[in-house]
Amino acid sequence: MLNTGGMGAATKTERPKKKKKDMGKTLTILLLRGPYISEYADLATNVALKAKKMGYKVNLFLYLDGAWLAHIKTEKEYSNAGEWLRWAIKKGVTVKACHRCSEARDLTEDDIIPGVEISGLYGFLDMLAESDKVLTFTG
Amino acid sequence: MEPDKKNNSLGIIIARTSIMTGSAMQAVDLGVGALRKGQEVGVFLLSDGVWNGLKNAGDVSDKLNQLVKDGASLHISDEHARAAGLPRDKVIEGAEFIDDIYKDLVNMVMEKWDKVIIC
Repeated sequence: MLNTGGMGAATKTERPKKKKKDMGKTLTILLLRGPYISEYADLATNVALKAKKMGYKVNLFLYLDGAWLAHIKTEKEYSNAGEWLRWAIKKGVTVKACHRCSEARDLTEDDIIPGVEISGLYGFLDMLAESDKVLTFTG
Repeated sequence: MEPDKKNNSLGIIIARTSIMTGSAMQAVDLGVGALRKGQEVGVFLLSDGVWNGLKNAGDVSDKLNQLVKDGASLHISDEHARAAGLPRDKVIEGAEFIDDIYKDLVNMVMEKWDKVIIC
């Protein structure tokens, strides 16, 4: 009998997709410091990544100088918070940057990592409203 | 005062040294207060905050040492302690070194502690 199926029909065994863990809780991280001035941007992105991997819904809001984190768009020869942010977005972390903070730093949609939404503070309030825990990296 | 059963544990994450900011001391002071009210207190030192785990270093270190003696748990990022060159035999007694820091930190934040502060 001829195989009349489409590409790869009946020849490829598809691995069952792993069901993603869902812990049923939401973590929101507020970052107020820029990258490279302290480790807060590194800590915030790494916590976001790990929490997402562990099955939590994760939001990250970039506020004040934290907005600069979204500006690290290109690959570097060294690990950096921009790389972790891009990875976090790819893994499903919701990332928003404060509109006023971005505008004040001349950061536009074209300047920042794709997937980061420039949002008003109401966007942050939405994140807070759905959160079980909030971590604030400031100071 | 009776402890609030719904908010019975406080997590304190310290990522800076006491000479960088006064907030490390304030955070430990909050821990002292919470412990006195019968709350469970956990302190997690990471990044430059690991230096606060040095014993007999005065300032925050001494207060943190007393906090642990009084019943608080103290967790220190092994990765950051090694990066800082912090000798294990010179940290506050009773401290636990954490290997997978982000996993344990997320677990404490999301499942163990009712409230969390970072400084």
